[in-house]
Amino acid sequence: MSELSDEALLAGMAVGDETAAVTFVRRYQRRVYGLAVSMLGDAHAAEDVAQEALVRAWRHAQVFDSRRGSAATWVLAITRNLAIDAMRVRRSTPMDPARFLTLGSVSQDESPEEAAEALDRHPGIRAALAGLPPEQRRALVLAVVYGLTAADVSERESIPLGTAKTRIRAALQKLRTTMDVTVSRS
Amino acid sequence: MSMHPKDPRCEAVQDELAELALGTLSGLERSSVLTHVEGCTNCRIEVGRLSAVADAVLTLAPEIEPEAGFEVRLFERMGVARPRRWGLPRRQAQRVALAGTALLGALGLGLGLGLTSGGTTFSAPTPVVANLTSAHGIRGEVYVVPGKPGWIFMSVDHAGTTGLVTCRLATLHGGTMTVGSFWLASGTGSWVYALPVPADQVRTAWVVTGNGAVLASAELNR
Ligand SMILES: [Zn+2]
Repeated sequence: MSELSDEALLAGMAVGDETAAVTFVRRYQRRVYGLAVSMLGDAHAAEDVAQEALVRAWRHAQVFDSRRGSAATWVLAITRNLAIDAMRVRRSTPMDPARFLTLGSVSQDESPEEAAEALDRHPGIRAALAGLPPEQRRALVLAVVYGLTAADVSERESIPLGTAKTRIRAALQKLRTTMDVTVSRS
Repeated sequence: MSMHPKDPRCEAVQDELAELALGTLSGLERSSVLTHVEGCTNCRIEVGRLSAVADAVLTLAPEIEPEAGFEVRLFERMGVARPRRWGLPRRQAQRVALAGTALLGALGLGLGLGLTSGGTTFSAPTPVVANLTSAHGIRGEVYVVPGKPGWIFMSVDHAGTTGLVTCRLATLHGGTMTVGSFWLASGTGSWVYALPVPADQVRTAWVVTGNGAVLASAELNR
């Protein structure tokens, strides 16, 4: 069953097929757990979030809509939202964008083979993120991954609100340009 | 960066589109930006693209091996039987019927289906997967899973048409039957249905248009 597409696995999960669920879990648990660890920085809390995300993917597979995005972005967005909730509850959790960046080895070069092997990743976006000025990269990760508003980013980084907005916007635009180029080439 | 710099109303919200896409605008900012974006195709497309970029950033999450026992604890929480001991408990079997009915109901096709539950059990289902092939450049896959009932999943892409299409099956014994209909939106659609015959009896699956033309087919048990 491991050769099945994500879409087929989710359709199987939607009708309660356990084999599909196990295959899906084995395909995604390292990424789901990896995102949770990079956000929370704590193995115990990360396991709880990662498990809850996978449980929800199993329970709510019916609502997955492939026209609105890939299975990877769906399950990772569920994970992200749960991790944000967990951080709100445990206010002590230090928020460190560097964890997402270094654990994800954003700065390391990835061979085209590795990039292609990695499920559902947009070629070039890793390099594009690594190529951003550090302050833009940090602002982007705080907004995209940790869900901070521009006002939160401004406070955290001790920068004016306008600067925070500009950094987030500029970073997103640069990645967008990279993706547009990649998509039009393929 | 601006794709449509001529319209001053677009210019006015340009700076906020990124945060709208990220969902981090405050309520007040959000509603004023949305007022424009909801009525402006260019800005809506731009927000869609920026959201896709944000989604792509999440896919850069590192892959980290969870601690020992993660799977055992997870499968317990999911109510999923331990791997290598397949077999669908009664609760799961009922869920199959319920989920199937819900799905079909959502498609407006939920009447008169012989989906049953009760003591149904699945034994080690081995799915058969086949690609849909077509002279029209249509892509897709068909996925048939044995069980009581078995089920068929079909996904179609690049069909270049919007509208209702029908799934027809041929069995190894030469019989043909219509299993159901599903909706293609801009050439894309997917669909799951309880099989009216045992999965190993399905030879061919076709996607057929309203006027009977075959759009694509898949060979399942040769
Ligand atoms: Zn506009």
